[in-house]
Amino acid sequence: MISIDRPEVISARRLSVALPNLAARRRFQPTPMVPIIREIDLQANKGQCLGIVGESGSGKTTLGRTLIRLLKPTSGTILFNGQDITSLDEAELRPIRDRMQMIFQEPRAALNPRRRIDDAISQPLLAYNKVTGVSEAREQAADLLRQVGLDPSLGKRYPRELSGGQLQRVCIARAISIRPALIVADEIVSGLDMSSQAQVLNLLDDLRTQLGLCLIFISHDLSVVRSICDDVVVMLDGRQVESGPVAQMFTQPRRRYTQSLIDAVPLPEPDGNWLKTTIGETENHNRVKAMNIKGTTALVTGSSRGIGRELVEALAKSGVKKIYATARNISDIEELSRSYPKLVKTLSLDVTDDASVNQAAAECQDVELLINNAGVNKMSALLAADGIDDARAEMETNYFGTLRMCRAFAPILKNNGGGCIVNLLSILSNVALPLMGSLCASKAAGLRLTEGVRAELDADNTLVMAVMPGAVDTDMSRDFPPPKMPPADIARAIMDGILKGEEEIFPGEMASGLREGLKADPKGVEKELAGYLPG
Amino acid sequence: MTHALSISDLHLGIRNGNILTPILRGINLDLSEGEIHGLVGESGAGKTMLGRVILDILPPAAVITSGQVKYPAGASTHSARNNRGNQNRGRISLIPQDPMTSLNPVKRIGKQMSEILKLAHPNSSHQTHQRAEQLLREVKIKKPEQVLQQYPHQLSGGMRQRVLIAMAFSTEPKLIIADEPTTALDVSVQRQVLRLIRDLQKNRGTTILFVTHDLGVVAKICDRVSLMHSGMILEQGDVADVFRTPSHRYTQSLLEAIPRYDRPREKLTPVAEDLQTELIQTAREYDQHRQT
Repeated sequence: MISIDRPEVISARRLSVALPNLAARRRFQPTPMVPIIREIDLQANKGQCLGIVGESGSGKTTLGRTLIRLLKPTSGTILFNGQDITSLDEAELRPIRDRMQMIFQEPRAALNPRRRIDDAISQPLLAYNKVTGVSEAREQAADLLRQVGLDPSLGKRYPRELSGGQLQRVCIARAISIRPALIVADEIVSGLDMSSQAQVLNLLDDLRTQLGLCLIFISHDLSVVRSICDDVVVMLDGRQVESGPVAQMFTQPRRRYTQSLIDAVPLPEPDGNWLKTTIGETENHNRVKAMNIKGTTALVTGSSRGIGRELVEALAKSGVKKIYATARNISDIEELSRSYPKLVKTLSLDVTDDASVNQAAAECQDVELLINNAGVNKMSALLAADGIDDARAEMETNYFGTLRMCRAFAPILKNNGGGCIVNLLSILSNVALPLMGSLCASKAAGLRLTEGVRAELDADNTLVMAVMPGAVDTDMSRDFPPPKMPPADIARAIMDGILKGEEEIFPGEMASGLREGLKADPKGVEKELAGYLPG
Repeated sequence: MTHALSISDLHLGIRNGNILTPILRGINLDLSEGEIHGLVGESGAGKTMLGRVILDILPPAAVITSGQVKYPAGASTHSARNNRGNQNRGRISLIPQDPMTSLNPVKRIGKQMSEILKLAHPNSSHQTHQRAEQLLREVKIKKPEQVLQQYPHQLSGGMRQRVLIAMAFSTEPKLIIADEPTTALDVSVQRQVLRLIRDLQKNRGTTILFVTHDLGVVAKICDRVSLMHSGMILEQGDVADVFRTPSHRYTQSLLEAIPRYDRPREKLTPVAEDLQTELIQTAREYDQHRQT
């Protein structure tokens, strides 16, 4: 949000950086590039502190360095004080270099061991002609030392004579000496003991208010981030998996990865079991997209019966914040809101109607988890049917309905920091049968739609999942012979898939068996299916 | 309970010309067998020096002025510092803080591991190699045979720290000094490494002196804890007691200085300046008292 008193200092849009992979270099060939950070969006304003968190190797430092153009991005844009600095060369950057500074993790390595402290602080002042001469620079250095809470007499000492906490303050003094608008602080308190850490953090926080600094604070310690930052960007494998206000990230982390980062912080509370818990470490899941269901807001279409109804029940039991249960006739789902009066909000929604979908989107701006469950099966063949009305009706709900919902809600999910879209399809998305041909076609269209939406949303870190069960014990497949899966099992499989961040699930033995069979012998499977299904 | 190590009234100073600067002031520390004992303090408190006393790797200028370090049955005390080291070799080992500077950058991991293994058990190269591979497997390194062929720079920080842990445990020591073993690691890796240390320690009954400034880590892994400031131990006790009902003002204010994500505050409260000066003053008075 840009406001008058808090103008934007730095922002990045779809920022990506790739570096040459020297290990894979071959003679007489161009060096292959490895992507380090991908499609990062962020913004920080005057007087604001933006935290960048993530495990080692997630691209935090690369991002920080790119923001102040120590590295050149491969794509995307960086705006600094409204100016596009994405592709400026070193000479063009020079006039704005004094507006941005960086503080490093290891103050001992960042200071020249053979330079006295006041000399080190004077250097940027002299280099950017901020002072008339060395004596004025020394005077200012003394003032700066006072400003960071150090005795000016320390200026005559060498770095080796000061403690780590003192040296880090010297580095802060040097960074603020030329009054920058932006400071990138890269793990600056990781090497300090608890007491110096608190001092340095307080100092930085005070300076930020006094000088109206914009601070990019890179750290893996979430307790520190919680205490100093306003907003946070969570990174993993060079991607931004979550972002938003710091309080929200701690009360309701949207990604399981964020949760695992929070859980890994050892709080000073004696607890012998803390080391034993292994949440999110050994489990095999898509770490970028695995989502936290707890605390989210979900919307389920077609929740009057069958899988939709079971999904509402399952979500209600897994600690979601709110569920929008929707159906064409609101009277069909009133019972759900009676069972879960605090959780479930019922809504009339017809996915075949543009106006109805748009109205729902306007009402449900907080959705993070969209489950497109509504679907119809007219049991109609392609050529043998009386007309194409059945096919059209199936397409209208199964394909266009899902598409309408995705189009209406994708921007909402993005606004809420990336979420999850689940599309209920069928194993029939993958087959061609001499019966129910129009259903297969609409489900196949739904599968391609799901894959396309996933591709378009890749950078937003939205999990887009296709659910392809076999026969389920619902009204829709009442004519199907057994074995049929109970809808509650499908709901459970979907919840599990969201937690693991899976992009395709085939719940049940029938679906997984058919999937394997389709890989080996598609024609045989289709023949078998045709014999099994009611004609 | 038998003691794995017993330090009584230890005083140590650094000699510079005729001046002896006191570093450790009357340290009493008993480590029970099989415990993990946290040693906590700000930088400059004397934690590392105490660790070096136990390892008997003091710098030449360091002088033990009084007190003694008793190792379990038969081991040396510091009264005989001339024949340093040898008797304790293999019985005490170290997990160092910085995995990058603690491994030799120009030697393969396998070579560095077998150097230690050969000192402890002079076996054939083949046996040593197999033992190294097994050790790496124990510290949950996935492809040990590959890692043995690699150089330190080819491994991540977490992997390097695992290698050092494997090396520390390789001689089946009774006592390990872990000097800030996880400070350089990120929180997720830190948790894995802590778990690894705890598991190995449990299985072998090793005693560990865990030197750190991170009270959070102490709360999660240690059985007992000692808090140090200016070379003195200010508070000592079971982790549960010390954290729930800290008796020393310094312990209380250290606990309050820690930022906590579950209790966000407007401002952090570093240990107050006057408490710091008071503690330093106490240490000075202690020195004067001892001289007279």
